[in-house]
Amino acid sequence: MIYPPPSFRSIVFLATATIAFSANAFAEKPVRSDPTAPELLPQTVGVYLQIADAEATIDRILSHPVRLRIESMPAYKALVESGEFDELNQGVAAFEASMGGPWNEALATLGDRGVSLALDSSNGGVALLIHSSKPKSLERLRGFLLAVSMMKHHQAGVIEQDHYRGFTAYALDEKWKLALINDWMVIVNQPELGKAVIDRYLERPADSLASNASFAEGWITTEPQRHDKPLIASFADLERLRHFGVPKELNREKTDHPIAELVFGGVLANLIHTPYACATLDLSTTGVVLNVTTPHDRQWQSPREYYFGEDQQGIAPPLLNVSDCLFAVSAHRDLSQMWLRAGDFVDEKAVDELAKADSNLTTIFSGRDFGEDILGSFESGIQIVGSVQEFEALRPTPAIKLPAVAAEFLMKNPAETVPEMRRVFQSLVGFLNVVGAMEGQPQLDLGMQTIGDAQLITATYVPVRDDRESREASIHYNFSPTLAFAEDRMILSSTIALAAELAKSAQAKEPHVDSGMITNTMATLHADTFQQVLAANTDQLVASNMLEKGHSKTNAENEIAILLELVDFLKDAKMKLGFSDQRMRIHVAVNVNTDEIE
Amino acid sequence: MDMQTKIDPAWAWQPYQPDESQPWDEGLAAHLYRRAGFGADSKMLHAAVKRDPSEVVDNLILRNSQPNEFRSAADGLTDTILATGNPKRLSAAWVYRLLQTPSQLLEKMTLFWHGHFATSADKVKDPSMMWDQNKLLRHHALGDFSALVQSIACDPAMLVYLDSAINRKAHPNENFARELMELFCLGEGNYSEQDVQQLARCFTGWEIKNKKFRKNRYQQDVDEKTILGQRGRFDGEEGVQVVLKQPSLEVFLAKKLCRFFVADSLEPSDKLLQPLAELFRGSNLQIAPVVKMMLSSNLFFSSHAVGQKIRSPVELVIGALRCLQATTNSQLVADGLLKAGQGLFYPPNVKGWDGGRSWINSSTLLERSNLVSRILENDATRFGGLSLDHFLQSQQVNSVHSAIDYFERLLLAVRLDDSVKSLLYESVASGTQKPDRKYRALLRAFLSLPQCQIG
Repeated sequence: MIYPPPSFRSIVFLATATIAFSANAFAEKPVRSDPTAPELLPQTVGVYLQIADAEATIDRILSHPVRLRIESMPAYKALVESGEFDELNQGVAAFEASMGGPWNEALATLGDRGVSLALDSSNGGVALLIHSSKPKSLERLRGFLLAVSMMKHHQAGVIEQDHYRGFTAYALDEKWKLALINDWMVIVNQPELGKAVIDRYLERPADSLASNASFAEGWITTEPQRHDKPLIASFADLERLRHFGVPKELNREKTDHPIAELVFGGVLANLIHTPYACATLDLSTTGVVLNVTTPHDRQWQSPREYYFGEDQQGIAPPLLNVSDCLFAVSAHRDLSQMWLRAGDFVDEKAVDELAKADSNLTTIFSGRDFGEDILGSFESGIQIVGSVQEFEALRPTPAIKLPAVAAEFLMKNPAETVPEMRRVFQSLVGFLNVVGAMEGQPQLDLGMQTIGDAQLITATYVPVRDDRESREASIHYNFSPTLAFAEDRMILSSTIALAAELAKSAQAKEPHVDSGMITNTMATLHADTFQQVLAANTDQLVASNMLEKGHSKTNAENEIAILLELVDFLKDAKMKLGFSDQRMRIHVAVNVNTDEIE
Repeated sequence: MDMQTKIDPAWAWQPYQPDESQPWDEGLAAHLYRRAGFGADSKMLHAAVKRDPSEVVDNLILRNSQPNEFRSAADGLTDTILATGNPKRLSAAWVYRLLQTPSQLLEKMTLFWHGHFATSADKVKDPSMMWDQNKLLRHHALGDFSALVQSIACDPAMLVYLDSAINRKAHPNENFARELMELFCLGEGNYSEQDVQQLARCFTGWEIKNKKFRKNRYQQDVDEKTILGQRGRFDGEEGVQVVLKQPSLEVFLAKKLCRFFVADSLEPSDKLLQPLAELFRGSNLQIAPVVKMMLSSNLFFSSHAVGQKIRSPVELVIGALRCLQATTNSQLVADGLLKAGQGLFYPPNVKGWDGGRSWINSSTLLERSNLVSRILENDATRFGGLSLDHFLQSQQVNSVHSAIDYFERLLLAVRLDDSVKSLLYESVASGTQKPDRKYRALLRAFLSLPQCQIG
């Protein structure tokens, strides 16, 4: 005969009754009251994360306008009614029954004095510390967690216990244990870590995470010295993590991919030396902001001076501004130095690839050294911009509609560089035509335009007769590669229109240094234009959805419509990477669209 | 097996009539759907046994004209995918079609012709040309064989594949002429070298320019030719007609169709094939009547046929997914089929796929199993839109034992021993996995069984 499992309520009752008599009746008393979470954790903690005020956090999330918009979406309502979340809903109901109130209020109360998560680098131990002003709610939570554990392991009335200095630890499973230490709940996967927390609670010894010099120095940048508390603050002891080889990348001097090196090389140079990193996450009605800060030292920059610039003058030029801008990226990178010294910071395999490329490029550039002569003829600022193309009047119209992309460089010696680049561009067009003809692809037609003082060398794909009015033409028709020269600026663009717009626009002002920080890299992505790009390619997205998920056309269309609606919530995303003599800071902000929010 | 002495041609192709010794049941219905298409789910089997087998066959033939809604969605999907310029996406689009089509026999025949008039995207490269050929094959799949051959003779993808994109009067290109007779229509030994040379002259001036077929009259050899005993100033179409009139054609095609639909190891004599050949010729080379005769026949429903084919990778994977109303990542399946030896739009050579025992070797067997694993582990794989355990529940399958019986009924041509069933049960029953994972593990084990490689 099969017996039905005990009801959840009965298990909670049993758990509560069983532990009622074994609670911390004989616990030792602490030396002082009211420790902070870092004071309870050992110095060996490698990663620490804190939610200072769970009530404020939950309130901010639940009252956020984006959440309200998501909940009003018909797709969300359909998902909720579909039964997909039945198991989760049952769990929430059980939690609310245990806590005696709505889940959000219960969580807010449980963590109103902070929730902390720590990773102990010495033994891989993980600790979750929940600090509440209402110990009774912690007891209810304990009962709930133990009941869930008993149900999961098909136990009834059996809870494994350990005792340490008068405190009782309950086994949630083979690894995880839970203990209540007055107004703290501690959940750990390593018994030694749990004991260390209890020891510090009782004795408050000098050595703890709080007394870790790196922690003390870094935490100031995150913690309540700021009048506005971040939602989440975190600390990583990178020196300690590097010692234990976690993650591997922190001990690697060299990257294995040139593009990754170009984008992240300076950050890596910092992370393999810096003692710690701190991060904060903030949520407001306008969006989410992530700040990561680490100490920085000029001596760490070698051999990556190409990234930072000589004498710390690695300032990124301003972001380019065009109509229907999709994204803009600006960075300081001395490409010539990077190319010439590549062996110092990319691995052997990447160096081999670069050597082959160097040989080919030297041929294309008529025997001139690519790294020294060609890349060396440009200043160290790189500006890249993408914009949405206008396809309505374009014939033939490509089936896949890509944005236009352009890169702008400053020439050191335009008189020499302009004719050189012009020749190379013409050669490349010819080469593409020969290869394209062999593959049955359309041919490029060279042209020239003058806009004011700017000179544009253009290449346009010539459609075959039958394709001239096509609205489903090949991907080639997204491109009209163009090389433009305007004073000392050289613009390489995927389309004539974007090159012309950039050539006509006045040079942007010099960037300013922000709070003593030199902005080395910055980027922006505009969500409205991103949505335009997605919408223009709805057919492709639907087709991909059908193939990759096996959906019918209707279901695929619905899913893509939801994606577009979700993108509509966003306004933009921005990133800044800055350096000073003492600090590196990464700032990432995702802003939401508040236009429709009441 | 000495088919010549064992099988009476008069009996072989007579319509199967259910009787006590061989009743019309779900086992035979599943066999019919496996061969005529890729497989049937429980509901289809249940409906099929309530009808006469001849009715079911008729319905399979009649459904070769696809419903507009499905055709519109499937064609639209493929047309959209063409913009990527990637032939591998085309393979994925065909997988999607195989999984969703209500006209299984049409797709099975299209697949047959794809292997018969083998053309590979590896060489042709242009996905739009490959798609045009695929549409051509589908259009004629159960129709007029003459029209099919005439169309394929002008198909740009075929001519590019056979290096026949240019054919000059001074140096006639013999490739297409040879394959037309040897592989497509007559078979080895039914033509001479001189016939090849003469037929090649008919196709002079046939060329591909800008991916389109055209006739270059300046390069056409208009002089008299002698092909297969016929004399005349034949052009390409007339040359094809001469080949199509050869009596060896119907026997050659019948043999190939027989091997594809009835049994791998069947080496039927000309005498056994005669009724099929006569029907083929008598109906003016219409394909559907021959297929119908085969699928309705005593031989097809006999022990000479049931469980006597090794399932191709497509039949194994698409069949299993269709039987369980599954949808999945079509690109994943297409890529896996290529590794398993049957890439759609990627036949290995001009002879297509040999089939039979050639589907199974140490590397393809492993890849078949790996492909099944990848599909079942993929989050996109759903069964009737549900997880596998919920789907099985909806089919009143609520235990591992009943799941084994359910899979056996739908997926296997041969019954499992109790010992095998016990092993299957023990492999999953004791685990603490979630039900969905457990049933997927069971299904994976099922599809890797030797018994499941036979269809």
